[in-house]
Amino acid sequence: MSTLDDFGRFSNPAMLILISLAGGEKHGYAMIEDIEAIAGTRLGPGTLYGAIQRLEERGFIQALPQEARRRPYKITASGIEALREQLDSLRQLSQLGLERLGES
Amino acid sequence: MKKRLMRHLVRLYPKHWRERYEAEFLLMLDNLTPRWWDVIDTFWAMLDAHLNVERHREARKMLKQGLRWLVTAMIALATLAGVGLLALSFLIVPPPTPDNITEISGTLAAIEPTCCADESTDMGIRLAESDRYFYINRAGLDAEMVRQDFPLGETVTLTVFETYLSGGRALLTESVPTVGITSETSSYRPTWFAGTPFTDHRVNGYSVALVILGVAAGLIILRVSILGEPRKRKLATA
Repeated sequence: MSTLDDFGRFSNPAMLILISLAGGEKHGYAMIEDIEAIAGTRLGPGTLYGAIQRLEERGFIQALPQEARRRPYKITASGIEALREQLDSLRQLSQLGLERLGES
Repeated sequence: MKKRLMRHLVRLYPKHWRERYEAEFLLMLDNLTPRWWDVIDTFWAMLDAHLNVERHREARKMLKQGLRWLVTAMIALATLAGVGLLALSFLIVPPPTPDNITEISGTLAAIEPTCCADESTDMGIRLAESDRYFYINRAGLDAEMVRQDFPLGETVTLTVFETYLSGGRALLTESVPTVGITSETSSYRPTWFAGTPFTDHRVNGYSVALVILGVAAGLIILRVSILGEPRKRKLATA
């Protein structure tokens, strides 16, 4: 199965987009604002649409019909699965790091 | 200005990308207050969009693999050429030894003109018994220039000019002996090196080498950022 690791430099932006969409459907600009609010990082427009393109091609997100010229996106079942796998992997990494720091 | 630039950049995206995303990208741009970084980001993503076409995936993979090899080979060649040239500049055109510098300093003092110490003047040295003539930029008076084929102990004519740009009028001509030139000049450089752009100015060798190494660095950035293989995350167990 395809994972976010296959996205190269778009891997982290793609994960942030999936996390953003896990909170509900959003269009591009709303994603930028949401990601800035939750992660403190502002995705560049080129990076955002590079990641959106890859996520859509892999079937991790789905474009919805336009609303007032804007096109919202929603996360799909396989997107949820890929995000869960990515977050599990990060949790293990975090756990391992904390253990080595003697903080767990 | 930035928005207009980004709108122009969007036109450079591949056709299939524009058909699918251009309208919503431009709409998002209307709401955005772009930074210069966003312009660079859009440019970079545009290049990426051309290289990462999802359809024809196999062909794209092969093309990308070929590009990886090509760029890697170019990096290796450029690095080799740059380092080689740098080494050549160091080794084949070696800097004068401290002893030589002392000797040459003495030599230059001996042929120092009696007037016109202003650095805006240039100097030319003419051998008394032949027509050979050496032009010396006074500001960049360089021991290596004086080393060229001067017969030891011969009398030379020193001419001081106004700067070349102001017409080169001779201000002073005097005869001075090449007193103090005691080093052997013929072995200073191998003859095959004569005629190359690096004969007179070692710095030329450095400059070209640095440009080549700069190209290699640029290719490395291209190789890593656009043509890099996706990394698989593997976690070690505690």
